[in-house]
Amino acid sequence: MAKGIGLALLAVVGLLLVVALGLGLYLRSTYNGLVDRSQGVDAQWAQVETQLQRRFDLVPNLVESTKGIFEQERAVFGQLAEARTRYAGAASPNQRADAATQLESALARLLVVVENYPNIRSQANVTQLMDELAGTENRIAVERRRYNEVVLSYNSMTKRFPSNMVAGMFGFGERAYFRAVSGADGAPKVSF
Amino acid sequence: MRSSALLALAAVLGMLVAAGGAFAQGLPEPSGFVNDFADLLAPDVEASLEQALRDLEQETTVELTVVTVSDLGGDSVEGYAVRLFERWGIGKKGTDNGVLLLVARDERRVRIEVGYGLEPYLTDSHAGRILDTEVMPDFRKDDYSLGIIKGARAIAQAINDSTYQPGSVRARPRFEQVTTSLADKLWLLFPLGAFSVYLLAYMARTKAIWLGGIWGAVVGGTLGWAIGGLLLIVLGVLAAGVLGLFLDAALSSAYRYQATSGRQTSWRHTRGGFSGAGRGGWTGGGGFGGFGGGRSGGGGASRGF
Repeated sequence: MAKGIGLALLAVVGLLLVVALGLGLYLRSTYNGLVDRSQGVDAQWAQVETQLQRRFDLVPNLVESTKGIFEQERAVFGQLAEARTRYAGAASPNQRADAATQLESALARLLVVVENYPNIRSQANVTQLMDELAGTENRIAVERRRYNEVVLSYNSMTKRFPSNMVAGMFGFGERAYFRAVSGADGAPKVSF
Repeated sequence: MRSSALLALAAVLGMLVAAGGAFAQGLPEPSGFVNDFADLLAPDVEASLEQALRDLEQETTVELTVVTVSDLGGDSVEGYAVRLFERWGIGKKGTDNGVLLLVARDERRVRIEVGYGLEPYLTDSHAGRILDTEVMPDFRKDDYSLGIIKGARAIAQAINDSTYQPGSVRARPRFEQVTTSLADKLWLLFPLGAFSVYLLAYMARTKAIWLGGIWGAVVGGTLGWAIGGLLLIVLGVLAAGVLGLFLDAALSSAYRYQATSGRQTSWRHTRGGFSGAGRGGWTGGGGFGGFGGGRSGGGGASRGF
């Protein structure tokens, strides 16, 4: 009889330990998953910023090579300068994203304007610059999409049951998406 | 034993992960370095181009692939190129030294998509110049074979002329897969589970229960190590050790009532068979395995012809 009680006790202790182990494993993998995803979001945002910076750096070259039409297209260049100043002065990632979308639409307008001046458009350095710019816009679109995918994966983990409990426990908050300019979806079209 | 149930669970999870990775996106599968889906290339051109691209890969490890498609399925040529690059993993993993020359027949668009690792050596403006001077003149005359050959040659030339060193790495974003550390050691579960089954038959016949405890501790410790962390090893040894003691005790006392144990072993063997099938799915794969898992980030240039 005493042997039976001993066996039952062993079973209870064993089961408790298994449950504790399972809980510990779940907590560990969920927490680490959240950390990995959060790091992934940061890394991908850095990738987006690299491309935004590249676009920012290309603007003076573009202005320089298209200054022949400066007088006629004062408004576009004014918008471009303003967006560039705002981007340089942006402090938080959200402000930076806003300024970047403003810069994007100003650039898109300039590219459309340049289309109307065949003599400017056909210059070799302008062609090169347009390629760099189009490439940069495309890169930004790609990295932005990847950023949003990573944010989606992270955000759904912080919201879905039961991982949301772990996220709440350790203060994993929601991350913001980087939305594209409304109307101008993706890169401005540059055709030759 | 408990570990065989874990084994089955791990096998099912493994199959789920593998199925998730193979999720199709409506993109074709590669059959080599030249993939002429739109049939724009002459057969002899295709063969010699394939050989040339293979040689380029041998010499420089750069994976330059030529793809023609009949249509882009509603996507832009830029979007399609990035998706195809992502799906095929053109270029070597880590160095991202792939280049994709994509021609869309119906949309009349052509694009050079450059992997992350080659961006400094094949810039967007350089890619645009190659399209303008090498590819477009022949494309406008509907000579796709010549345009593609000249384009591919110019891309290879640009890489050979540059300071590109095979294996040079450029920083890129990485998104760690949570499952990789466990998946690397998943094979461990197989011998552990199989050995447990045979050991169980012996342990049930012995009166002593210490062997079950020790074996349980070994299995638990290994599992804890496979998942990682000292705490997990200790926890695993304790939990599985106690469970092993209990199981051995229970089995031993059950054995004393039953002279035969044929039914039990056959039940366990079906578990073992199931887990074996799961292992097969884990290492599954096939087809053309030439691309090394490289990535691109939208660098390159496009033209309409």
